[in-house]
Amino acid sequence: MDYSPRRARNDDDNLIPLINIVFLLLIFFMVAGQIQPQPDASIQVPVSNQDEPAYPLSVFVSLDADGGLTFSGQAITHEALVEHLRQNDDLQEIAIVADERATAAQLESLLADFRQRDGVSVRIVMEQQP
Amino acid sequence: MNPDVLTQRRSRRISLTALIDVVFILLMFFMLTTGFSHWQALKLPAATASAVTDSEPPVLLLIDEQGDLRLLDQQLSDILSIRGVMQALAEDKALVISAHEDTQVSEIVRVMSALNTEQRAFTLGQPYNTELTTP
Repeated sequence: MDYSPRRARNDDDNLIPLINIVFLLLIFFMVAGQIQPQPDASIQVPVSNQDEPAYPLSVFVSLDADGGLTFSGQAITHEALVEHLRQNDDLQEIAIVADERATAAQLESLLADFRQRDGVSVRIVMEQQP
Repeated sequence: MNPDVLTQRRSRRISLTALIDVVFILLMFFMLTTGFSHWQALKLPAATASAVTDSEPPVLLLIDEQGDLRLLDQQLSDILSIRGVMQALAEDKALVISAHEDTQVSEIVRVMSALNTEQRAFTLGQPYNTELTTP
């Protein structure tokens, strides 16, 4: 048995369980999540039950249920979007994060914007059901 | 120099508070920036002038407001399931999807996703806004 005198307890010793938990949480978020831009939480993305490869979301336009557009986190008009597409010649691919309650007419008016710029491939984003 | 001076020096412990500060900031960063959604993407082959060049007219797949599917070839078909659409479709004909203006995006995506699974090529045409009447 160890009868050596205990060293004086340091105040920091109480923090070690806290640090353990925080480190575990940190490692969980680092390993399990992907760092990528997220669409607005109010948008209900159509769900998919197909087993397709994951799509890394990078450049996307959000179409909300009322037909409003959001690009890079800011509301944008159709004219401004067309202008932005014209200025960014190197943009090859753009994704549409459409709310599932948006209508075909609203989707069409967004697609009409993309049609004004050649050479951009358009994808519509779905969320895989867990 | 007295060697005892070295051995007697008290080992100083680094305060853990600074470490926790940094770890908390990292934790906040990862909590706020990471997402757990698995995104998938459907390529949208939107109708362009060059998309339909065949001499044969394409078959229209109409999706109405309720999400019911009808084929418009020579004449308008009854309501079909995706499986029925695949059976009724001739392999060699071009397929154009057209939804009613008020059809929800979820219905269009559902149909496109199913066609994609069946590896059937299609283009997405303009929405229509007329009432469908069976002849």
